[in-house]
Amino acid sequence: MPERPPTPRGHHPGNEDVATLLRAALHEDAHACRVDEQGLTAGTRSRLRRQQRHRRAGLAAAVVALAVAVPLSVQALSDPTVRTTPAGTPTGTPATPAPAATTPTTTPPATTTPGSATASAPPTPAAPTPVPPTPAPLPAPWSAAPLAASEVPALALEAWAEAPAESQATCPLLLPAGTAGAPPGEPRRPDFSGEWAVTWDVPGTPGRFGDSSESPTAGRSTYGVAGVPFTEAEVAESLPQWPFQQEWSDGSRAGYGPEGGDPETTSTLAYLQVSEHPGCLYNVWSHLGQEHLEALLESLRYVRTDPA
Amino acid sequence: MRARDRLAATGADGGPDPAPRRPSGRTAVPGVWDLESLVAWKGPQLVRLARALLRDPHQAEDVVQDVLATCVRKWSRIQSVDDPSAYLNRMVVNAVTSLRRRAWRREWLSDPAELPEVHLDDSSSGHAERQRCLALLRRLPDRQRIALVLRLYEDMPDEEIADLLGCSTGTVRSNAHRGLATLRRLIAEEDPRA
Repeated sequence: MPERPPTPRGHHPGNEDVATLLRAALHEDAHACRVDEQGLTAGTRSRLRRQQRHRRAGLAAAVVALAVAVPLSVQALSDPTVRTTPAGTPTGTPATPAPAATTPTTTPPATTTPGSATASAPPTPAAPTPVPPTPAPLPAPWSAAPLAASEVPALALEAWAEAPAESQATCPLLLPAGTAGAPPGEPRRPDFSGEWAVTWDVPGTPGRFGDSSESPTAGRSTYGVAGVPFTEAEVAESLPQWPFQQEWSDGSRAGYGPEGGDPETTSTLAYLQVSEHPGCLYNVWSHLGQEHLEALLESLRYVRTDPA
Repeated sequence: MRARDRLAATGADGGPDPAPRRPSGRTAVPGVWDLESLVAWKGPQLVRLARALLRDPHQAEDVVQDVLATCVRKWSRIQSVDDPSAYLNRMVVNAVTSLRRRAWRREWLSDPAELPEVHLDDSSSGHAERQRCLALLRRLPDRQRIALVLRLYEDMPDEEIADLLGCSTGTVRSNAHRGLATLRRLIAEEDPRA
C-alpha cells in the first residue's frame, strides 16, 4: 500500500472520506498496474513509421503541387495582361465595343448558337461556367413543435433527469421522432461518459458488442443520441474534422462520417451543434448507414422535460 | 514529496528513479537515448496516469504511444526543458483532453450493471472497495473525473488543472466538488447500509 499523501485543503468536509478512498484507490491501482513495455515500444514504433509515411506522402504531394504551380506562375508572370478579348482575336486590334443596349439584336451571331459552331468561325469568349444556385439551408428539424414526454421512452427522460445539472442546462433533451426508417428497436441507457444518452438496440442489425467489437448482427447500440457539454469553441472545433457537413437555416451545423475516420467501421457518427445551445456537442450515431444517420438528424426534436 | 515528483521518481518496475536531480535543480534524464530507454524511464508511469484519466486501458495505451512518438521526434527540445518528466505528464494530460474532441463516440460500452457489487462497510474487502470506487469514478462525466484524478492522484493545484483544461479555477473546484458528491451518492445508492 503506498504512502498516502496529505489530503489537500479545500475539500468539502462531507466529501473527505470519499476523497481519501479515491486517492488510495488511484494509488493502489497505479502500483498494481503492470505495463507491457515491449508492447508499448512496438506500438510507438508503429506510430513513428506511420507518421514518417505521412510526412513523405505530404512532401511528395507538396513537390507535385509546386511542380504544377511553378510553370503556371511563370506563364502568368510573363503575360500579366488580363485578356478581355477572346482567345484567337488578333492582338493589336482594338476590341469591338459591345453594341449599345438600345441596338436591337435580332439574331444572335451564328457562332453563339449552340451546335452551329464551325471550325472556321472565330472562337467566342468562354461562357462562365454556370454556378448552380446554392440551395437554401433546410429549416432546422428542432424548430418544429417539441415532442411530448409521452412520445419518448421513459428511460430517456430518466437519463436526462439524472444527468448533471450542467448537462441539463447545456444540452436539452433532443431525440428522434420515430425510428427514421429503422426497424423498431428496444431503447436502452448506455453509459455515455456520465452524460445523458439513449440508444436503440435493434436485433439482427449491425452494432457493437459490450467489448466494443463490431458485428453485422450485434444488434446492440444500433443508433442513438447523446448530449455532452463542452464549450462553444470546443464544439466548433470538433465539426470541421468530418468529411460531410450539414447546415440548417437557424445556423445549426453538423459534421458527420464514419466514426473515428475508420473506413472499415459500420458506425456513422454526427457531431451536431444546435445554434440555440452552442456549448452542447450532440452525438448522433447509426450503424445502419449514412442515409439513416441523415434521416435521424432530420427527425430530431426537443422533448418537453418540464413536469406537465 | 509531491505525488508528481514521487511518480517521476518511480522507475519502470517501481524501483528507484533513473533520473537524479542535477545540482542546478534541472532534472537530468541520463540513459534516455532511444525509444526503449525512454519507455523504460517513463512509459509505465505515463500509462498509469493515462489509465487513471481515461475509462479505457486500450485508449490509455494509444494516448501514451502517441505521446512517446512525439517525444522521440522532439526529444532534443523536451530534454532541455526544466523538468522533462513533468513535461511528459503534461503532454499526456493534454492528449487526454484533446481526445475528448476527436471523432469518436464517447459511449463507454461496459455495462455498469456488470460491475462487481461491493459493500463499503465490509472491512475484509478493502481492495474490492477501492476497485469499486474506481469503477464508479469511471462513470463520472469527463470533466469531473479528470479534475478529481489530477487533484487526488497528481496532487496538482487547481490553478494548474484550470490551465490544462482551459477553464477557470472556480470551474475546477466545482467539478471536483460535484464529482465527489456524485461518487458519494453512487456509493450510498449501491450500499443501503452506508
